[in-house]
Amino acid sequence: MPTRPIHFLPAKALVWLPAVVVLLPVAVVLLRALMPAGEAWQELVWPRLGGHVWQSLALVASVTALAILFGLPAAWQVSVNDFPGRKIFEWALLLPLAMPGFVAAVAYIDLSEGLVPFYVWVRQRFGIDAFLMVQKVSPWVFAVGILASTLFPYAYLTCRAVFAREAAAPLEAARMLGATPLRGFMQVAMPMARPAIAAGASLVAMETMNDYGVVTAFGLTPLTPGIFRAWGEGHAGAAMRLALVLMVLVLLLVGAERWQRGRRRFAADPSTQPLSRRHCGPGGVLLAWSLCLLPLLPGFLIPGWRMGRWAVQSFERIDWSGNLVATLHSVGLAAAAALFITLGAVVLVAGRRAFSGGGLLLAQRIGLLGYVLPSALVAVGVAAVVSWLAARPGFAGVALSASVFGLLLAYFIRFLAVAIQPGAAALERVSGTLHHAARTLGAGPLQALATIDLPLIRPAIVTGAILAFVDVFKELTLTLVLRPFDFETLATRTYRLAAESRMPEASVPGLLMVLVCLAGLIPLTRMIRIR
Amino acid sequence: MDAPPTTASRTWPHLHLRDGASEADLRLMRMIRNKHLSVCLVTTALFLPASAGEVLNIYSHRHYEVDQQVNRLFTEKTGIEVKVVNAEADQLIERLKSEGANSPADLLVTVDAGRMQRARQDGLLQAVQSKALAQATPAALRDPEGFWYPYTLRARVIMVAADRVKPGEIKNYEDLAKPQWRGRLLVRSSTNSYNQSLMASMVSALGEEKARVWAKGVSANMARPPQGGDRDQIKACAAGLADVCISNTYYLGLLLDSPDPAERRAAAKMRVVFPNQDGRGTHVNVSAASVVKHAKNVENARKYLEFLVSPEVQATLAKGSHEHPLSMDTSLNPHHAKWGDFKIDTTTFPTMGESQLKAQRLFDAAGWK
Amino acid sequence: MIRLSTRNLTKRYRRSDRAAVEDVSFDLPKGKLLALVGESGSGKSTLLRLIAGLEHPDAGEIALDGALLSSPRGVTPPERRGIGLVFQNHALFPHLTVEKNIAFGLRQLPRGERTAAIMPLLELVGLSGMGARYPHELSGGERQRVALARALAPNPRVLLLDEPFSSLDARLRHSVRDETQQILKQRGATALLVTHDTGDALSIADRIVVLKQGRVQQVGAAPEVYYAPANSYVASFFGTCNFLPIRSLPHPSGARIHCHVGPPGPSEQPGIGVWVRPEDLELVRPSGGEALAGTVTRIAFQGAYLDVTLHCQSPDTAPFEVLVRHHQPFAVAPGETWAIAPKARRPSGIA
Repeated sequence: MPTRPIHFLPAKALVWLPAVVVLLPVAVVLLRALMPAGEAWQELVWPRLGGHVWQSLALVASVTALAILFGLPAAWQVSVNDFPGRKIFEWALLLPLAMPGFVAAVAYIDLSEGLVPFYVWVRQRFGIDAFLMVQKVSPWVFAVGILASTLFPYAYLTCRAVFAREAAAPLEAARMLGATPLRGFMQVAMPMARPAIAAGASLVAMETMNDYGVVTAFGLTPLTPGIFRAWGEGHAGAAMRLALVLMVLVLLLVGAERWQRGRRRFAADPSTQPLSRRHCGPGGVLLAWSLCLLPLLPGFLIPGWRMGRWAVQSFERIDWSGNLVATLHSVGLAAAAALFITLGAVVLVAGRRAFSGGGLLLAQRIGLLGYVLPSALVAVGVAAVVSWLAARPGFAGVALSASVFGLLLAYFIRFLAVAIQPGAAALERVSGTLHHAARTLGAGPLQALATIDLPLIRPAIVTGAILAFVDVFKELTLTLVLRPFDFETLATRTYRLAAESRMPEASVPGLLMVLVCLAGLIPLTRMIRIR
Repeated sequence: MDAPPTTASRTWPHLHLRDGASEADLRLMRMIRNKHLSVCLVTTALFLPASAGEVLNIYSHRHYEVDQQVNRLFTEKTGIEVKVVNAEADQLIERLKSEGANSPADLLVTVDAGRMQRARQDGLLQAVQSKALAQATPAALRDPEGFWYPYTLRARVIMVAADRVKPGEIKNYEDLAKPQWRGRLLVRSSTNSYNQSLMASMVSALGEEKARVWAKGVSANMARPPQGGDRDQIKACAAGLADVCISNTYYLGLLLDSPDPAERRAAAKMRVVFPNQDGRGTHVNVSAASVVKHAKNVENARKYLEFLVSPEVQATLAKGSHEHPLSMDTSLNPHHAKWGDFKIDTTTFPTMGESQLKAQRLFDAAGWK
Repeated sequence: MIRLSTRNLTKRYRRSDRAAVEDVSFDLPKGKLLALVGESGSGKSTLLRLIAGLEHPDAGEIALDGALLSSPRGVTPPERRGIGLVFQNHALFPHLTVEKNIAFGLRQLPRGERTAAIMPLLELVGLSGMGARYPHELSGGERQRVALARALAPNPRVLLLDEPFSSLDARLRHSVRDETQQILKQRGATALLVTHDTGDALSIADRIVVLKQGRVQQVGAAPEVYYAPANSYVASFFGTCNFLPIRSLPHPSGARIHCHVGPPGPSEQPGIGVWVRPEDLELVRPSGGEALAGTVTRIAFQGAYLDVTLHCQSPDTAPFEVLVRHHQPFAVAPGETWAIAPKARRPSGIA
């Protein structure tokens, strides 16, 4: 019996490479956070910690709750009711995904100025204390509203999948047993959708935790800006401790979602028959339209319209060359990152098929981990790794200030999961016997992958690449802190111009981003059509 | 919005590039890196124009349109090509430190005397002696040994809604902490360097404890938690959200000349109060430039410095950015003329860099977000 | 008394040129079990959903106890029809216990009475003591019975069953099928069963409606559709059938017997004169005369009987094959020549 050829080993090690890269910043942050953090932690950062954590929790709780309130009823309406415009709303409700929160914020910062007469009225009518209270609350209202209305599609998507598929047959059963639509919703659809709601909510919560643009626009200081502030003040050790606190919060969140999912295991068979939709009367149509427009207006239509007007008004003064350079940077970065991410995902996904072994499943799981790693943690971790590397002889060029190497590394870690998920899911549906058939017909593992498995999952790989491209394209937090000097992307340009209160100018790069992100929605809309 | 995270700490504090690496080494490293990361090459190529002949490399924190105009004028007059890398001052200083002798930079431009003072202490700058510079710049606002020179003045003042605050009702920075202004004051976040410089001057003038109490009083008077930049404070004040705000003067000038009629109307409602005119004077910071220690084109840099303080450029800047010229000649800009002459606080100016380091801690202690 | 009737029901789906259900009319008497049988795509599930109210007809009417439920002018929504439905995959509420699943349709009852109503149902379907379980803790057969109990609980005027046994494995389905029939009879339920399995229909239905491409082929009791199929489609759908290109099947005794032989319908293949099921034929010693004779070409052992294929020659037509179900009073070997005779018997009481 010949033993396994020795040349398999380097290939197997290669499969581990993406996972190791993902683990790197976590390891660095863990190590550094456990070391003494110096007096900066004691005197400057520790006193702020309570405020940061409290703000993070309050923000996540309110954004998540509001996002569910936006997404769930809308998903219900387009899934079970038939009304004019239903098909348009079905995909239009995904549009806010193309509107990054900090871009929408550009429109709302201006709008908040428009509320001054209301504030003045409050002061005159209710006195100075009420006025100050309103002033304290209103940035929260704006930040929570913007985040929830741009992130609710995550809750919408997951809920819609349940209503249209798993819950379809039980919902019809409930109708046959005499249940009104409201009772079907409360007693059948809602409980069945609970795991999906939790999954959508955890995505919303994660994005909220990672937000930097919206919260700083309204002067809030949850953990993510807190970490960057400590870091910016030169207290790297303290920043890493804060990042660790954020990581713990995220893990608690993920744990809660898992627990909620695992408590009851529903074995609902997906229905073979699509749900027959209920025709709406005039009242029903009105309700459906309001529930669909309620999140769509603040999450896409109002900011899009406001920025579109700015762009038109200031058309003659648009700095096209600046925007062009930023667009090239954004596209170049996103394309390069998407390429590396897709390669990494293919290596992880295909490697598992070629070299079956329990260890490689672990590698894939680690690759998926990046998505729950907070951006702030990835940023400080990558910065530490890159600075260390830049100090090695021969690697000075990778320094953060000089190249996009660190930025690409951070994108890779953060968004690898985006490309792994569709690829792994697709490969799961391709029977392993095909691979084995190729192997028994004389193909080596790599040849079998290249000729059989990978061509079969190509659409999923392309989907993953597009999603990664869009995620990188609209990324702000990592880009802002890890980009080289004098290097602007559309995201950082929008943010900078808005920070300088140059809203009309900020609207153009913002709109350019929205347009590109819209293209990224196409695979998503296709995914919801398949049912 | 708060300023995005800056600085220093972007690099791992004790892991800088080793100074020992030779220039040849560095070039080789870059080549290798570029081979492996062609993406870097592509993206880098997008913003590094090829060049020949006389050049001047500037690391600048300033990125106004008028600066580009000034640079073009300089090239026209001298034939020296100007290349600018824009970033926050702290990032630029950190980069100078890590690049050491290999730095391509000839000139460093910041908008904060405190940072220049600290950069000098860190040994990043070199002194330049020039009669033209000595004549054009006020002695109190430049480095005594010529390590850096100011070229525009930026006064941080109190602005009031003209219809709601009587002349003379507020006169000094210290008044901002008085309880009569509760719920009537707007100011941006304490993480902003303009506020840190103002706080530094308060520390130098009053001492740490009194400065902290002052900051606490200001914080208690805020009509809303700090949010947005100086411009936003002015606009909100004009709209009636509050009656008083703290801002640099040129922001009002920019609003008065805004293409947006609503902004022009808002700005017209505000009146500038130069604080502490009966005492130490109004807190002023400067845009300042300095020749970098390892500059390769020292002579070009000196020419540029002298060009900046020339009457022509001073007039261009005063009109273009609404900053005050070194001469304090208010006739160059009609808004300056309307706001009037004022006395500059030169007593706290020399210790700005030192006191800034205490400012953030005091702000935190005072609860000024 | 007619409980449910449909008249000229038609339903077309967009993006399909053929009607899913076309001009379907039938009656379902009270207390009877009617089976809608057809291949997949025959429109039987659409018909069921029309009756349930989950789809709206394009033409035709549905009436329950004489009152119109559906017509092109208006439809009663499913929740107000008083019709129960057992879904193909059971559609149990996965997050509710067995008891709560069954109680779902009993909301108009006070809480105490609800329990009182559920207990006998649980007992009826043989699930006493399992009321606190969740659906995923049940076997396939148990789930089917919960689905049945849930649909029966509100005492529907008509119970619809959509392929209720299709998700069960072969061994289970026979017992579940018989149990279901017993339960329905015990409750005196009027039921309509949709199935693609002719065995289901033949064994438990009082009346069978055969559908093909949305149209009714035949309506009748089980022996009727089996022994007197309306056309060759129905004939072959309910079991193997010989279609022979001869006018009649002579008996070796000389008598020409037509008894089990269906008449050629208008839509039948030309040249086919006789169709007869293999179990209605027997092999006899060739004795000359007019009897059809053939050479044995293939013998398949089926346990209780043999399936014998014979090659026949006829002067008027091309050679053809005949399948005979041969119960073994004597041995048969390939190559032998036998005469084929129709059995002259018909179980009495079936017409």
